[in-house]
Amino acid sequence: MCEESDSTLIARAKENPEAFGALYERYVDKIYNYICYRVGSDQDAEDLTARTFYRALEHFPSYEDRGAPFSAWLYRIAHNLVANWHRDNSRRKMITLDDMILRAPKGKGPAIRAEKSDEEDVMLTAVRGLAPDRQQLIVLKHVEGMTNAEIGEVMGRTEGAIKSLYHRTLVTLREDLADQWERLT
Amino acid sequence: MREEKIAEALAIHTERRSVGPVAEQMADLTEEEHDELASLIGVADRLEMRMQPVQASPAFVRSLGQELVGAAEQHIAKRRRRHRIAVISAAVAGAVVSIASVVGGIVVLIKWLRTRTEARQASTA
Repeated sequence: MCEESDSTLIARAKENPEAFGALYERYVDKIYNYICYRVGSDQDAEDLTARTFYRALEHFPSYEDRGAPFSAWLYRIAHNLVANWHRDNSRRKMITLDDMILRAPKGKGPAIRAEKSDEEDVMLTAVRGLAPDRQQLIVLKHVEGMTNAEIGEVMGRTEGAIKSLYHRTLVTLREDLADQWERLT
Repeated sequence: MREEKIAEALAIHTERRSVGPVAEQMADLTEEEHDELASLIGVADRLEMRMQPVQASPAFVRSLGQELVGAAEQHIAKRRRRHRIAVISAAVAGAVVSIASVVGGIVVLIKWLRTRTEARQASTA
């Protein structure tokens, strides 16, 4: 069966709560994923995911479908909530490696996961040390698998600006990670 | 070093927009630029491999979904109620204005007739 388009669902969701539920189901995993990588704690990620969708629901009547992806709007809400969360929390909990491994997609054996753990830990620490916009870019690109054009829509920048920011971010990460990777390999 | 060229090559690589190694399509890069690109692609590939999607607990997803549908129902009902109240208020206001204008018209007419009668009586006297 053909999946209903976002535009159709959005139009229906203005009058039909089930349609809003369908939009939620379509994007909850992506939003949770994004928030989880940005805050590093599953409890906080659940809390912020819930707040993202409640805020979306609150502002939904004034949402206008102007052709930009609905997900871009949701990511912007999530990004603002994450920024507030970071501001409000001076002491940030880092996600434990065990948590990340437990939530990793099925199909990856435990041995492979164990091998990866040190490098994952180092990498996550380095990514969380980046400026917020760069963290956002890395998560959207490598976890969410978005293109530069899609990331541009979420971050309100041009595709060219995203390409350039990505390049600078990789240069920074390479410098931050160089010594630690050498130690690991 | 042309950073724009390297940024473009990175975009091609990460978005899998073309077939074959990026280096082949970037034949005009210098050796130094090739090395720089290869090193950055190495970082990008490691990120790609290590940053795997995480999954929310199904119980959380299900319960939040149910809460949201319930909340959406209330929002829609509240909006409809507000809309109904606005329509009824506008109708009542319209009716009041209509009645007031009719009453006003009658008052003005009576006053005008009375003034005219008084003027006639004065002129005949």
